Amino acid sequence: MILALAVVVGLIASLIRYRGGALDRIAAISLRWAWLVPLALALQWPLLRAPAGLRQQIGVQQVLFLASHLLLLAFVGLNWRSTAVKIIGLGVLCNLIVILANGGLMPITPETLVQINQGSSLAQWPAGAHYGYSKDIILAQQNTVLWLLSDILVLPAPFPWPAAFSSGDLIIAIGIIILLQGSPTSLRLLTVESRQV
Amino acid sequence: MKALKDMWTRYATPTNVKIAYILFILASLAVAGGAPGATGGCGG
Repeated sequence: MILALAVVVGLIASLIRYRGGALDRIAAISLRWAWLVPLALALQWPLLRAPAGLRQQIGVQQVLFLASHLLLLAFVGLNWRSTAVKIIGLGVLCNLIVILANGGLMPITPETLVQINQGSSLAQWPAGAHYGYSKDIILAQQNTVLWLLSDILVLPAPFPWPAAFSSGDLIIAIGIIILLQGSPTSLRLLTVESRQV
Repeated sequence: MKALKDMWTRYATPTNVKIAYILFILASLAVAGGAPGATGGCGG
């Protein structure tokens, strides 16, 4: 859920930048077939609620998780005119590539898990296991395909919610922050409206 | 009940509802598109 913070950051940035006009700019954002996104999240929900365990125990959840990416990519395709959505799409694609290259889940190393779970040890994070309540699978670095695209960036303590994230996650967060500043399409709409007034 | 209805009339303007909808969609997009690993195993 840490990535949802990008929405808060984007909203605050917009309010600082545009003050009273920020909310009008956000309201002018036009997203086609936006319901595909919560539907994709609903498909991922069983995986996000699955406790830690063997990969074989979450076969159905994993299929639903992978299917949800079709909906996300469809959403990106239908909103391709927006530069911010293109950026978000790039992030989704980066994540999907590394997920597919590693058998259907996002790889994370035991070392990274020790960094974000203070007081834990490497022995607690067996390779090959699903990291509970997440989309991650625990894999050693040498066994991770496209390791650079996996969850290697770390927000350690004393950050209130220590987390590891991928470059794809970072790109998605940047795209969301940019989108909340008002897309070029919505800016054109506002310009036309102000001329009419 | 009346207070609730008054609040709805006052704050649930079409613009505010649209803003809430956009924020909900973007939060969903962040959780669905991203794949971070968090403390205690809390992805999304």
